[in-house]
Amino acid sequence: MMQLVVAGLAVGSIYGLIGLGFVIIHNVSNVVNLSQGEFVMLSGMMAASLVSSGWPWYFAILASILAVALVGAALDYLIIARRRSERIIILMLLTLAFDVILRGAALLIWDKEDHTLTPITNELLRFGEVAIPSQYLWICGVVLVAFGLLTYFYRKTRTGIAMLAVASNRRAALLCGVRVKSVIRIAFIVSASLSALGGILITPVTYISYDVGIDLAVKGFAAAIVGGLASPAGAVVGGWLFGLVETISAGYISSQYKDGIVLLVFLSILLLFPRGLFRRTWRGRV
Amino acid sequence: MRSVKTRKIVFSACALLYIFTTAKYGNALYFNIANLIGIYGIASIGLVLLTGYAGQISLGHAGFFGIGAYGVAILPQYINSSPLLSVLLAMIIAIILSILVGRTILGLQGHFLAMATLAFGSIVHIVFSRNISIFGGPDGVLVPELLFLNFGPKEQVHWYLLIVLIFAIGYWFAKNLINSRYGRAWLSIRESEVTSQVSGVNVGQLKLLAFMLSAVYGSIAGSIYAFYAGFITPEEASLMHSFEFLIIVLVGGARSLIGTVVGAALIVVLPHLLNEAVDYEMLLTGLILLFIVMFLPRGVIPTVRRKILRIE
Repeated sequence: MMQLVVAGLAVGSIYGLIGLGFVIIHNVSNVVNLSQGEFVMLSGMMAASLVSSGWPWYFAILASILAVALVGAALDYLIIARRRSERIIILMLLTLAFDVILRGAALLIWDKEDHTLTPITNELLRFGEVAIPSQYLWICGVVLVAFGLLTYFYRKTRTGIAMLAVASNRRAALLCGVRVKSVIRIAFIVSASLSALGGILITPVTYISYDVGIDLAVKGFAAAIVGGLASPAGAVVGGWLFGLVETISAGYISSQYKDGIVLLVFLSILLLFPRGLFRRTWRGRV
Repeated sequence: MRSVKTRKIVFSACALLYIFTTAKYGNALYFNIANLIGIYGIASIGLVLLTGYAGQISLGHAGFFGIGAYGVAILPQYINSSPLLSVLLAMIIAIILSILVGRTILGLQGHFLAMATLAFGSIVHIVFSRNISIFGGPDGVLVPELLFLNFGPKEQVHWYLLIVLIFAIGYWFAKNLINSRYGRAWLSIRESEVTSQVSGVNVGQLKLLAFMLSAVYGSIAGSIYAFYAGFITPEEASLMHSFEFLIIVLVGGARSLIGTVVGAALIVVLPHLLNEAVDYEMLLTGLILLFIVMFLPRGVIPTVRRKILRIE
């Protein structure tokens, strides 16, 4: 059981990273970025193939994260920024298109096979009867550190505070001299980088292939929902929640249908926390 | 064109002429493509009603398609139902599911609804692909023949005429719905749910109706596909398949029934055009979706209508 919990927290941390990506972008731009999962996939695939073609490990992961961050920036620059005024459904469809494009490109650049990466440390730690791969601890640790850095970024740096301002009230932020376009671009870059980090961390544990993106995106979105799509801490907690649901249901109910169970839990949470319940009053155009 | 009525008569006449000519002279490749276009078109009509008219986005439409397909493949094994009965039963299952799922998720707005339908489609796909004992797992299942009193479509031409007929019936039914108070109610829901509710439209019921209809069209199309192809895999209910239906609707025009043919043509013909470069299919599909949403958000048919109407 302990084994399942730790594994769940590890996997869940990754979902939390993806969920953070959703929250960060959504807070400043109201966009739900369906290609968030592909960022994870891309960095994992890229790192795996760079390492296996001889690159040193550090360079490979750095290059992968940078590359994916650029892809995130490209999403904003090429697509979102040009259609910022459209309805959110249109923007979501645009991110969906981008997701399919990324997946199609990955299929062409790489192949349909599973890929893996060497873990940071490859020990099997033992606590009594429980054996935990050290990578799990690395994942949880790195994610917590990343979250801490993110919190510092938001609270203490000018850019971070600017992002909070845009998230809170875009027009007021504009009036105060905040460069909203740049803030949104940075949000995309940060989100992509977080997901890319997730890709690097998870690939040693579960194999990665060109089509893991959508599945990850849905679970990351589920994590973000727990925080109401607005709270970063909520996204991380949500990630842990769904990670635990996945591993525990795999262990105790069925490992075949674990993803289905996660989805069912996701649907239930969607219904218990529909958009209206988080705000005291419903604000919107009629 | 002189009037709407003249235009309709001319259009129908042309369509009939086209159908009969191609039925007589079409070759195997033509029938293969045309039949698939018809099947996808039938499924997409349901999505047009749901997304184009009622304004509810569904990223899980292939789930119903898969239910229709697997229904006719599996039910005869377990309850010894005839092919036609299986089609009906699969449709009923799809309807029941659409009611259960719809009542729960149709209250959600915007991207939440989209994700919920995505989850629904994923769950269906998971059930079909992970379960080997009943559904045959990722390798798929064989489908029994379509027979009614020992008669059934044997040649491509038979399928062609059958599919055209069912498409025509589906088209006619949808067109009538669109021009009725249901269609108008859907449009008002699409514009503003609150206003419709205040004006007396039963928003919940009508959204559910649209969802149910999308399930019906999807399921029937899936059943036809299963009989036609003779073999189905869980990919019939996959996410990519759902995206393809959405692309069909967006390409053709979200509120255009004829557009489903245009969109389906694009989706069906694309892999054939690519031939050996079939690996490029996903990338191209994404690029097409991007292009349409960025530059032709209304779709092909409405844009064409505007140009032609403007010239006249």
